Amino acid sequence: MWSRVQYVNIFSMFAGQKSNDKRPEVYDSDHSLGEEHDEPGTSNSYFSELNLQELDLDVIPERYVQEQGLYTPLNFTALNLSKNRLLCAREIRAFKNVTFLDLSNNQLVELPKEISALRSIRTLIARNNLLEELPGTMAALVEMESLNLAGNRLTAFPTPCLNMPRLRQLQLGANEIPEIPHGIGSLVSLELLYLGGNRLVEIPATIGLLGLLSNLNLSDNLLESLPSTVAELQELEILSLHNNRIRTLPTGIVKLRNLAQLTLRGNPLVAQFVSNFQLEPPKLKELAGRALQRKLERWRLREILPRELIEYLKSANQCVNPKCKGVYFEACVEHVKFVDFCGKYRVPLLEFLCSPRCSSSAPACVTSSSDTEDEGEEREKMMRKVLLG
Amino acid sequence: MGGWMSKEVVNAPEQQQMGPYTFDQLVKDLHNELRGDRDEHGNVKNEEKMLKIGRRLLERYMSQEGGWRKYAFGDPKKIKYYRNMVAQGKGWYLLVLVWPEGLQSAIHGHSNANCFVKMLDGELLERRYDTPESLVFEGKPEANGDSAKVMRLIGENRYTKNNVSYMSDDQGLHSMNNDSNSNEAISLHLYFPAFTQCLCFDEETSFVHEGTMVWHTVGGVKTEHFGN
Repeated sequence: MWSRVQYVNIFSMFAGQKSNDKRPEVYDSDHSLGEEHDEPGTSNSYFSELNLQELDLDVIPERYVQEQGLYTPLNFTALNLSKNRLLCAREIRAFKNVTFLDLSNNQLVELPKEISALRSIRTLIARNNLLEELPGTMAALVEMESLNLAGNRLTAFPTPCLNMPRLRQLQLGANEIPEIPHGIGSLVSLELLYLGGNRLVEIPATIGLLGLLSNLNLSDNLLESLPSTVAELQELEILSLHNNRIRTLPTGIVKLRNLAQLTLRGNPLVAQFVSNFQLEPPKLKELAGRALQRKLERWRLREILPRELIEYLKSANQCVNPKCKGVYFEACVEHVKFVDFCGKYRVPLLEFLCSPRCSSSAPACVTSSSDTEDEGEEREKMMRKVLLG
Repeated sequence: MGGWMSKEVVNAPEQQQMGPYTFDQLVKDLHNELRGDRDEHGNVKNEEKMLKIGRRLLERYMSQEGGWRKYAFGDPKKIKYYRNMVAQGKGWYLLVLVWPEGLQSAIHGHSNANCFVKMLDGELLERRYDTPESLVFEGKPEANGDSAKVMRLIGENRYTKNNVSYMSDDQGLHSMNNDSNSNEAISLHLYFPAFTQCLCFDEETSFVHEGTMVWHTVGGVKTEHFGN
């Protein structure tokens, strides 16, 4: 497979060869080259990379931009310009056939809008530059699969990304992003989402839509909690939360069967087992609502209750105790329970229980399996309780 | 600068051909010079000598592209650090480790062996811990809330490109952390005697479990552990 690589090494063309070592074909783990080599191809197809790394360039030299012989730009499917001193990279528009472009470690304050000419691009790495935003034209790069903008000066989430439905890896670490748009949920191909080292105070609930996500990094931010929808990320293998302001985690996290690594250090986690606490007894409306909510359909309440009360009853939350059928409206008990996780961690989970007395051995509200003539008596008893307060 | 006379320096022909010390030369020299000799009990006899040789060779090599890069494979999912076996000799082996952004290793021991780490690219933050007095294994009945103890941090070191550090069990335990959110870290590890099992400790509880070290590539070729 390797013999089909035509690796044009400009390195050795310059005076003062920097290294006696042979240049390798495989570059680094961001590279998608390896995958391309594994695909069978026709004898006419070839794959070639133009390597202009670490040559102290402040512009792309003219001779590589013009169409001539070996260095005709359209010949190359990969271009490496990392570790130079580029201030501007408009000439990359000549490399229309590249699927891989590395502009890392330069001095770019912006990506040129002409980058949209690279219609086939699948991997773009632009780590450690001075980028503050992406040009709107990048929304046209719909083939993009791996985008790495870590270590720049992004002060907002780069919205052209939301137009890239094939995006599998998105790395935005070490920037200055204060919030993530709800639209993140549309990037359903994402497997890796790296947001560590930004200024995030919360994560939108739409994150739960990223069903293929296996690696989520939210470390070094200002998060105080996570949306409960994180529990829907069934493919998640690693969740990095270190160095935030998190006190508890959503209960559903224990359902993530593939989660093998969870980093929590540097958070003000609830240190002790906290017993239930209740600030105010539930109001009469709440108690009545609890009693009636499950009977909403059966008693044809819709025909007799005002609409506002119907809406109120529909807003009921199910008690998280699986053995309890009770519901609550506003008055619930915040209960912190420590759970052994992956056999290694003790993780504080926040549960909302319907009553301080509710526990798995003695649920506050039990239904009998068959609701028949007993029910008539039951509901009478409950109605009396409610009316008497 | 009075009294200083400039001299014409004549270089021997061999010196003129010598460029910078390359990675392949480092590996060759390790094969030639580093040999572990064991006594009749199986203990390494010449440990002191091996320590000197190992440190000298690692400090001599200055990290540059075009040498170690062909061994540096990272986890495509960026979930684990990958161990790439470069070379094995008599009683030692040499690995290149690739650390994804933001990844920290478990706190671990070194199985009575010696370990040199040289940074090739990026940075690693080392945290050193006191060894707990007794080992309490995870999952055993004695591992409970009463026996749980937070591990004691005794030092922190940051290693940058070309730094060479040394670790062994008598210095305690450590974790290594790539705390950069934008750069991978790549390190060169020289272990002798060779070992594949080590103890891993939980920082919050001091509970321990045994870990097995696997190689993800050997000599630049992927193993069955690659991509899993």
